[in-house]
Amino acid sequence: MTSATSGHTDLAPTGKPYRVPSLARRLALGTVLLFPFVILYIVLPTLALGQFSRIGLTSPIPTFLIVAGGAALSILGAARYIVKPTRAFGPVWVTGSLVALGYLLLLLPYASFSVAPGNNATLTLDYRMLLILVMAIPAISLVAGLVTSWEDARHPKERLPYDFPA
Amino acid sequence: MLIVAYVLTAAYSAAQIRPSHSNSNGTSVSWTTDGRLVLSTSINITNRGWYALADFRIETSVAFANGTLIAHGGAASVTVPPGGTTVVPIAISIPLGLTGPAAALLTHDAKLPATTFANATFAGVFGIHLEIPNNQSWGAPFFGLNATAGTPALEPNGSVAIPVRVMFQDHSSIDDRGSLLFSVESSTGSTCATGSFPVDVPSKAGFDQTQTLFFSSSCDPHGGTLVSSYTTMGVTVSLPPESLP
Repeated sequence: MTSATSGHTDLAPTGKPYRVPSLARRLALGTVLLFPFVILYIVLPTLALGQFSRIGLTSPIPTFLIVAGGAALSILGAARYIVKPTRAFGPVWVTGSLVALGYLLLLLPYASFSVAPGNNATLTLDYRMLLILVMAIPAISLVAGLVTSWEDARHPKERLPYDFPA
Repeated sequence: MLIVAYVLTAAYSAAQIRPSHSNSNGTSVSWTTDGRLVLSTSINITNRGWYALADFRIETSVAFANGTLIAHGGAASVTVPPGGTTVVPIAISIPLGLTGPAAALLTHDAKLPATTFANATFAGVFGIHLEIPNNQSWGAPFFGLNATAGTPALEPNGSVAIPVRVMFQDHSSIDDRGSLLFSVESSTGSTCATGSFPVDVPSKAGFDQTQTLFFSSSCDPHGGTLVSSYTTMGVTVSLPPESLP
C-alpha cells in the first residue's frame, strides 16, 4: 500500500479510498495557516488591549504572556494540520488542548479590567468566571484528542477516508 | 468570536458606569435609642452601558486618619438597569459611647477617611468591584466642651456657692435638644453636687450657661472633674469628663 504522505489515492483497511495531500503541500499550507492563527491569538488580543487602554480600561495581562501563549497555540494549530494524516495527529491535538488549558489558567490571575470612572473611584471588571467557562472548550478538545489517539493506535488509517476523501 | 464580542461589549459597558455622591443636602443625621448617631446619605449609580448591574451591594467604612475603624454601614442590594440611574441609600451607624474609638467625635471635629465598596454581577458572568474613597467632614455635637468653676462664696448656712460654667459649640448638622445632666466631683473622686441644664442649641450655634451649685465646705470642686451626660428623645450619651481648674 502507498505511504499516506505520497499524495496518491489509497485504500483504508475498511476498503474505502482516501487521498492524502503530500507532505510538501501540507507543510506549505500549514505555514500559511500560521498567519491567521497569529492574527487570532496574538495580534487581535494585543490590539484590543491597546484600544481598551485608550478608553481608560487597563488590563494587567503581561504582553509576553499573550505572545508566548499565542505563539504556542499558533504553532500547535499549524502542526496539527501538517500531521493530520499520521498517528501523531492525536498526540499533537492533546498537546494543543493542554497548552490551551494551561494558557487560560495562567491568564486567570490577570482576568480583570480596571477603569477610573471619576470621583476618585476605581472600577474593576472581573471575568475569571468567563475564562473558567471557556476552559470547557479545550477540555472537551482534550478528550477528543485522546479518543483519536486511542482509535489511531487500535485502527490505523481508519479515519483517513473521512478526513481525506478521495 | 461570540465570546470575544461578549467580552468586548461587557468591558466597554463597564467603562460607562458612573458613581457619584449625592449633594450635601442629601445627608441627614439622627440619634438611635442606644446612643448611636446614624448618618444617612446616598450614592447615585449611573449605568450608561448595555448590561444591567445585578445584585449591586454597597458597604461603607469610616475610619480615623490613622486607620482605626469607626463605623461600617451598607445598603440593601439593588439592580441598576442599562441606561438608568439608581439612587442607593446608605446608613452609617456611629457608636459614640465613651468606651468606643469614636468617643472623641463627641467633642472634636474631624476629617474622616471613608471608603465605599460595591460588588455586583454584570452581564451575567462578570463581577464588578467598585471602590470610592472620600473624606467625610465631621462636626462634633459638643465641640469644645468646657467647664469651669468660679469663685466660691460662703453661704449663711455654711455651704459654699460656686458658679459652674459649661460651654460648647454644636458643629454637627443636628440640633442639640434635651438635657445636660452633670455632677461635680472633687479631686478625691467624691461627688460634691449635681445639676442639669436644659439644652436647646440649634445646629452651628453655641451653648454657654452658668449654674450656681451649693457644696459642703469639705468638698472643693477646684481641681476636680465635671462628669456629664446628654439626654435627648430617650437617648442618653455620656460625654467626656472635663477637668475643673
